[in-house]
Amino acid sequence: MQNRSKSWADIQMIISSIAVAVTMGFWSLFSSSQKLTAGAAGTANLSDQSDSSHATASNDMLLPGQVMLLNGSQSPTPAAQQTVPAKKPSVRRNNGGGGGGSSGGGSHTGSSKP
Amino acid sequence: MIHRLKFHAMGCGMEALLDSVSYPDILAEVPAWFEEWEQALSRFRVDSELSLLNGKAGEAVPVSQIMWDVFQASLDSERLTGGLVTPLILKALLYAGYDRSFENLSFDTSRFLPDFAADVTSLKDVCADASAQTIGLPQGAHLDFGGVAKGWAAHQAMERLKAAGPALVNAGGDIAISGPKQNGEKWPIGVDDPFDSHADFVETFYLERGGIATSGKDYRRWVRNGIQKHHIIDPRTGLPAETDILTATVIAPTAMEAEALAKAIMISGSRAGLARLNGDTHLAGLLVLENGERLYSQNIEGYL
Repeated sequence: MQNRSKSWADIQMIISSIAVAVTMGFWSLFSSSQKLTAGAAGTANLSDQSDSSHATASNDMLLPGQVMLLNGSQSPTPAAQQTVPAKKPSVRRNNGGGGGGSSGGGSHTGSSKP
Repeated sequence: MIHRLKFHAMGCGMEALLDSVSYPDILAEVPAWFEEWEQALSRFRVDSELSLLNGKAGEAVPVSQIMWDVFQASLDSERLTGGLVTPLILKALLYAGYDRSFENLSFDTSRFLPDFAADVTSLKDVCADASAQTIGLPQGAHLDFGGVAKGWAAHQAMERLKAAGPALVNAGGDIAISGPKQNGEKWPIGVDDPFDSHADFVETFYLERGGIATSGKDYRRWVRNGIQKHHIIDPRTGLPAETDILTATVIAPTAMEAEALAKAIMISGSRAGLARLNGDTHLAGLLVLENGERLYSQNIEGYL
């Protein structure tokens, strides 16, 4: 019985030691990572840092037709310049397609615009 | 002789055409009609009847004849489209970032806010009493008539004008036509090219009467959180519709039906949308897809 309680005390000691060692190890790891990043020294941790800043920058990346304003915000993307496919394949053309409309005593329809 | 009046209302370019020998005085009255309707129906005017109604959710509010009529038109649109077109999408529009009139949607002030999907209810949840002419919105619900109001306004103006001669009214792309011109000709209607606003029309249809309207995500769209948003909300998700269609043009018996169905087809996507057009002999249309492809309904021949 006495032996058993002694061995349990040993196990507790081992677990505590491992926990302390792991804690110190992580402390050391993150501490050095911060120092490397802040001091711009080292390469491995810096590449991680550059990855994360790249992800942030891509969020603010200018879209075609947008202008970066002086206050750092982006101008609205003109709809006509957004995601416009380069090619416009014609499926079918009837009566010459265009023409008519407003000039021919008629009107025209499209998405409502000012 | 065709007399044409162009003006601006409801955030859009408008035009009214009347075929008569001399200039009809009634044509000059059209902008005032639209101003009256906009004052009742605009969600962008804080003192509009609609804004006041939206501010009184939970109670029965007496409404004007204009509000009542447009509410009924909205009910018709909701029924016609199986619930895909409903005016109860205001919260979803606001969540998507469409929180001011489109001309003033100059830059994205909320681009770092997360995206929310709003719950969209049905007009069945609204308490409308015909005898008292009151509308009671459920708590948290707000109306935005949007395109329904434009289609209704085009139809109303056309009905008023037609006594002076064959008339056509175009409310921001929602067109109502009273009948053939005095010489018997049909009215030519060009369909704008969604890829290039300065280009020629992608197609021209010829209509004697009825309605034609185009719904699209080519213009009223904006960027939020780096993601492109547009104003066509899918009530099933509470988010801007994910669709392969860039613009949908629908020919229908009335401008209200054409407007509602064009929007519903936008939401449905090209496959279901074309099936809807082909399944009804009263309908015809043209779908311009994101990839540039153009799909015509089977019965479009009569309009070419």
